[in-house]
Amino acid sequence: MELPKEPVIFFKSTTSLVGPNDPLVIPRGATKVDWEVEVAVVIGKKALYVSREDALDFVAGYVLHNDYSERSFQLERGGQWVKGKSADTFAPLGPFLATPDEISDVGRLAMWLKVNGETRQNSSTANMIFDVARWLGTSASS
Amino acid sequence: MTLLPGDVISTGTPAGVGLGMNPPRYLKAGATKYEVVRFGLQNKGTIQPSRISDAGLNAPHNVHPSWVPGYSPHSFTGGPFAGAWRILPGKGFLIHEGANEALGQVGGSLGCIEVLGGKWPDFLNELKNTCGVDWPLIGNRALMNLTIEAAHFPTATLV
Repeated sequence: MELPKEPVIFFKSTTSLVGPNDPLVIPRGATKVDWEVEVAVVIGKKALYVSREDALDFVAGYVLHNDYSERSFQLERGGQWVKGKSADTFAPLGPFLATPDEISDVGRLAMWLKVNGETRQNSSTANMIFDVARWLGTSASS
Repeated sequence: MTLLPGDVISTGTPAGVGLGMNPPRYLKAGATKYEVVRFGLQNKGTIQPSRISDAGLNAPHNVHPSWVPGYSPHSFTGGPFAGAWRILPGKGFLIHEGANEALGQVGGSLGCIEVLGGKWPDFLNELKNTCGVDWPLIGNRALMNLTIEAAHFPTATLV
């Protein structure tokens, strides 16, 4: 897959939110439900026109997220990615929120994901194409 | 867009998603089917077995406190279903009815679970994934529901 020039922003619906240990419900017609371990940022202050340098000042904390995605809904039907990203239960968050003082460098966090005990993702936030500040700045840039 | 307190922005994911595998691999509905799971009864010392689920019982069933330490769930006898467990080809679980304590019979809800084919660690992992807690806590927190796929109600006696 070609690297994007800037972070690809899309919405996930609030109805996709669930707890970290809740079951994943595979929606009707789904055939390609996929996993994505991610670091999510919880905003702490109203933010608009935020520069990349100031972005982390607006962070309330960090939380674990699995960005479940149905790939055929997301990529094979045109339109927006939201179709493949916003099914019920597709956005587990948690179980805890780490405040910025608890994480010395969000750019150096191990991140991993296992499916039925089998490691599928094993990386670090150091390998991210766009760092957390860039994601935040892009979201609040206009 | 203006970001407000409480908004959540997730960031990118590293390599290893199913889409990127060759061939792609995706999640399937349903729990893993295990080759065999045995349920029986286990009572160690004077501690009553903690019940994981009341599934399969007609009413809450207190485990008899006088059962001897070291009692083996495999010492049941009776009919074609000797033993407190039963193999169900192609099925996941068997939960059997508790026997009649008043008649000196014993039986129980759960306790002995055996998974064949070296899948025991997977089974524990699935319990943990399902319940969100390590398996010793599952019974205490009553967080797990089991579905009965088949049930047999043996008349069992301690031998």
